[in-house]
Amino acid sequence: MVEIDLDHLYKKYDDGEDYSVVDFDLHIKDKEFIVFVGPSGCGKSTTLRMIAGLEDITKGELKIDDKVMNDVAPKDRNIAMVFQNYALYPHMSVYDNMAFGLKLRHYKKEDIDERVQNAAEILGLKPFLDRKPAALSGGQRQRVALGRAIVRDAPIFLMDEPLSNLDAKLRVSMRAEIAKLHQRLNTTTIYVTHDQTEAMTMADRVVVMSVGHVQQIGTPAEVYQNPRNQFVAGFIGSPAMNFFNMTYQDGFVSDGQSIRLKVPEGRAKILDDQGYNGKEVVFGIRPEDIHSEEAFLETWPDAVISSTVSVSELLGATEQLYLKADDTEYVANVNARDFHNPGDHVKMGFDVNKAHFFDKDTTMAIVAKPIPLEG
Amino acid sequence: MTSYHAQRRASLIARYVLLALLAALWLFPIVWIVLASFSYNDTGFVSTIWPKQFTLSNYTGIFTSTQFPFVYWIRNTLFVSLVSMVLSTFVTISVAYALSRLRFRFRKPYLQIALVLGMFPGFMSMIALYYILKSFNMLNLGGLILVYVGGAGLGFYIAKGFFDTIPRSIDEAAEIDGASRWQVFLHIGLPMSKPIIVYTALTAFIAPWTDFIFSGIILSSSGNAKTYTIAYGLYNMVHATKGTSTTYFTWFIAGCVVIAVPITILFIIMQKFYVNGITAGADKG
Repeated sequence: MVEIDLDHLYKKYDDGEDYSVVDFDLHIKDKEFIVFVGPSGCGKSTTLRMIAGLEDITKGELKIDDKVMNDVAPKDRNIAMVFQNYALYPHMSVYDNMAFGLKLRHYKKEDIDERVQNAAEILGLKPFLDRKPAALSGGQRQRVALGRAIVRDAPIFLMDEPLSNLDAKLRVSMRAEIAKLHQRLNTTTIYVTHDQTEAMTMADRVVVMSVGHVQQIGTPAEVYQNPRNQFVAGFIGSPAMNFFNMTYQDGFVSDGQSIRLKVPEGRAKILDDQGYNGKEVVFGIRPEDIHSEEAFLETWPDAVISSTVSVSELLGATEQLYLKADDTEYVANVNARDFHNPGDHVKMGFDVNKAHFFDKDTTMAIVAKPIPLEG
Repeated sequence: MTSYHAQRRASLIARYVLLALLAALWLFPIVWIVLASFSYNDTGFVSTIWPKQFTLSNYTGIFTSTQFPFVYWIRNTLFVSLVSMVLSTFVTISVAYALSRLRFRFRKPYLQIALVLGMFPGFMSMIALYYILKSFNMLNLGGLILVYVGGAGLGFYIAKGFFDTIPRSIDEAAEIDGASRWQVFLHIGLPMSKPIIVYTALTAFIAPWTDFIFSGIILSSSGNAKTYTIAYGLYNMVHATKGTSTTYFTWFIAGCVVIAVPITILFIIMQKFYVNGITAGADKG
């Protein structure tokens, strides 16, 4: 059993003027897989390093199992950490890399051997135990780094962008391996990444961050379906959500040029109720909610936009279209059967039921009931 | 218009000719000294490059001379050099490691002060050092060691540069693995730093081994030739016998060659630790 409480954490570096992390408040449950996600410089790694004890906490309290940990050395926090650049000990063999922490903690020799062999078995490192890190591939090195964390049997795993140095294919397979490992070991895990795909696929709960502030905390489905603000909407999902600056007027949104869409009644009521009639709003729609099939265009004639294809990328099953409607550019993800060449004029249907509306000034989502920071 | 191939060839030849010329210039004094040390001579300066008559008498001469205790000089110098090598290396590496790895208030000012202090040649302080050591009654080999080791704390820049290249995350990983700062230094920092330790040790050995200035002023007042180091002793050998100084010139040359031997051996032994890329594999790549 281990629970982590991040109680309004703040971080300010000695040489920094602004806070790098502002009011980070989160309760992490036992065995949870939490992912901190955000663009670089958003404070996610800093927060992780505060939990690890590698950075001092400027303000707020870090509690592990209700014990305040602010002033406890990293080695006494009983955590294991995997670094982005692996941070293996280059002069030690794979075996010694994994055994180092155990030796420092005065485990018995037989115990060390059993644990290392066990971890090597799980990670498929058995044939490489005598090798030095230099003689390993990137994926193998990352496995050793994971092994070093596993052998300790620590109740908390911290992972700082562990996959970002691997190539795309390896990243996908290691992603699955880490997920499997978590199911097997059931260790409370905090995972930092800038890759929203990793966050969506691995997390029990995602913490979306931007410039030091937590933007939204929720399950992957929650942050994807109900983004709290425009940042979360744009960051989660790939390709990113399209945003249009539009004016809402009497049940329609329009950009003053060729885009004019009917807003479904339910959504229109919310906009009306909150006094947005006649005002500018940010209209957001995901590329996968823009269609080109005839059936859709016929059913929703009020949601059709004439556009020109500027770039078309065939991805296999789907096709990514970069489109232009007058001056407005947007991206659509359509079925590969509806192939279009650059320069083609096409009619695109917007599934406005799935659209999102955001306040132009506060960037917060316009919904019936405000979405809480922590879902 | 000459072809690119011919151009490249010409430029390559030009470069090799230049390098060969430089090598010859550089090697000539060494070859000359070695040859001169084997030449039979009783009239002083050697006037030929290739000895007219080969002999080992210069070597046997310095080793058996009762007037000039050459063996004592070697022993003294070896003692001073080895002790200062061990102490200086420890001091230099510790200072460099601390300055590279720890963050403390005085760190930046110290780096700047050290840089400025390092611009003054050490022998500027020789008069002051002489009187200080004299007042402590330390105008002997012990005082000499103190002088050599005393400066070690300033010579950390190269080692610090090396430590700076070792990723901090390795230290952090070790810290999370349960290591104290000292254990990180001992188990992670030191083993990864073999090349720089070897370099530091070599320079820390060579400096006292070949130093003439400090050994000259500190040891000269004893007047006892048995307490000299080799550089000062050899100088004294030619200098003290004014008028007949040339008599010992070939001995002096033989002594110079003998000095070079330990350094060469040390270098050959230690250069295998001079491996590059010791940190390879720690990081991505």
